[in-house]
Amino acid sequence: MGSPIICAQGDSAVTLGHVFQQVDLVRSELDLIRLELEKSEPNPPPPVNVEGAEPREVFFQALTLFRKANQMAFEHTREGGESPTIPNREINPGDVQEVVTKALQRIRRIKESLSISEQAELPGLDSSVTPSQVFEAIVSANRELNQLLDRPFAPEDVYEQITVAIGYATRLLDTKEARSTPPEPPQFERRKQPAHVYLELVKCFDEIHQIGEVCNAPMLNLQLQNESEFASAEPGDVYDMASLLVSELIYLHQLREHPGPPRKVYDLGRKTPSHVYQRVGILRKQMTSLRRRVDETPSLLSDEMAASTSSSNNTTKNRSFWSENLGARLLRSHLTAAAIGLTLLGFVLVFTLYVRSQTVDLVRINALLANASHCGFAGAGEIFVIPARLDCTSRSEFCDEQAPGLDGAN
Amino acid sequence: MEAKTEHTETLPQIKNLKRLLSELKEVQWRIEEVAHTPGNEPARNLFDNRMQPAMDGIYTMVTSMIDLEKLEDGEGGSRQMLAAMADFRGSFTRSQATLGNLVTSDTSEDEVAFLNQAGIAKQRLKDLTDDSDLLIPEQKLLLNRLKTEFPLFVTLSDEIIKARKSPEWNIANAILHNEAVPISRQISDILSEMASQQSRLMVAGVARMDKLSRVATASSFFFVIFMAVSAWIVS
Repeated sequence: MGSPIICAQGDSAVTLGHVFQQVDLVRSELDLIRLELEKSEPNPPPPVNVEGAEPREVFFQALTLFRKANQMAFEHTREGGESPTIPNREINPGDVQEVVTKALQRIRRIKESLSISEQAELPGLDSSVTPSQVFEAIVSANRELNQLLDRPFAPEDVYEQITVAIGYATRLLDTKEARSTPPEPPQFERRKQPAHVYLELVKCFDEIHQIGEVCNAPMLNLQLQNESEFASAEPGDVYDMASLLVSELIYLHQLREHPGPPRKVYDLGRKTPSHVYQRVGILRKQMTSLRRRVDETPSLLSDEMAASTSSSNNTTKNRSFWSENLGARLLRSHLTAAAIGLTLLGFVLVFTLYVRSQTVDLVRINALLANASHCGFAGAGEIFVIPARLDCTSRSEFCDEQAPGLDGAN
Repeated sequence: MEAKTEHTETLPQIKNLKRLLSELKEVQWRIEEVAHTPGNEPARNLFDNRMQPAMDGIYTMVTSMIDLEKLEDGEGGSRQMLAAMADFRGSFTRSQATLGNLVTSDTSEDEVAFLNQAGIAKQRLKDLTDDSDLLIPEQKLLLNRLKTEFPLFVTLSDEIIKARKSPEWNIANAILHNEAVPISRQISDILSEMASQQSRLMVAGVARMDKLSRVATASSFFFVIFMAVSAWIVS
């Protein structure tokens, strides 16, 4: 057997060239197995242009490669292999190399069980290779491997992977105040094909890509060449696309300061592409919500939901009146009533004093007029109302009395 | 001022309540999602989807070996080998049934019985391997395949027993007991606390109202006197 490049976990000396070389080796080994099993060459994968891939995206495709290699090894040898762990830090080519190497080991175990003695040659090192090229090479290897499986990746595997994505999206939609729940699924549509699911996932990826742009988180650029050629998409291809989505969601999830753990996913049973299509509908709704929220608050994923906090405060202010207790409201109303009462009383008092002062003036004028009438201006006093309270009891008495301030008039 | 204090006391509780209710809703979603799926009982899922096909394969192989031995028997085949094969098949079949019971009921008797029967099956397989020189080439081929499959039976049975003995043998129930019930208890506690708090406030409010009515009566009496005095002064 040819010796693969074994590297320590996250070896920084490993370049993408090394990873590409290893993936090429995997593909050559898969070719040998395919010939032994007398299987035909796989159809080309759906026409998708990939640009700007990051090592983390390549890593998750490599994980899919390992899963498929592990399943195939189990089918042939009844031995299971331990799954590689996802590093909780920035992923580098060394991490990808490690996963590809583990997949290669499983593939070589299959070769051994099939007694294939031929060895694939380690291709030359190409240092100019880009992450996107490595990505595409792993996607092709995944497709080749899927065809060799006794039980190729089926809609239920895709369903499970999309459920994982929904788990991460749910945590991304959490706020400080409340945990989010996946939205209602769209109506079930019958007779859907893997190609329909594939295209829906590409739309979800577009949303994530835009979210990444707003959040300043670089993400792979995926472009469909011709939608009509997607009819050949198989559940294995859809699974690869779902894995890519999961990788991006994990990346966004890691951007949050205190992300809640995504929920565990269990075997959800046999599914058809129509079920998967319906489930992708949930993911699309979540992506749309997340995008809307990120558009409103671009720093949403790193600033612990500042917007939701402020909106919640507004709600609290509006609610404050209603949340006060009855006693406080009664006290307030009593005090208000007392204040109004005192003000009215004040007005009454001022008015009374004013009227009293006016009355005194009238009395004086009346007295003056009466006096004048007594002295020849008859009838003049009749036009004035003489107040009831007078110090004199009769007109004569009144006339005899000198009104104050009338001395000068006499 | 007093109202403000009461409000600041209630606000964190309401926030906490809102958060807990959202968690409860999510937990409920998870329970509904998993409750009627094969994954709800990992042990049964393993038994039905992984163990049964493997066991059917083993059973078919050993039956084929017995059939071949029967044919050979007529021409001088070994009764000893036939007995070993039949013994293997018998103990293997019984262990399969016992494992099925174990998945359903999880009793220690079933576990002991299963381990005994699986032990016998393993011993008989070893006997067959030791005497493999007596087998014809087709039987040897079947025996080799049997030897490849049998470790899977052992590994899977260990996994099944472990999964059945786990407190999370029924996922929906486990989520209900470990997550939903504690959350709902917390919610009940907060609600009770809030209710008693509101009740205290209510009592205080009533007392305050009583005082206020006394003050209002006194102030009304004062106002009446004041008005009378004012009227007297004015007149």
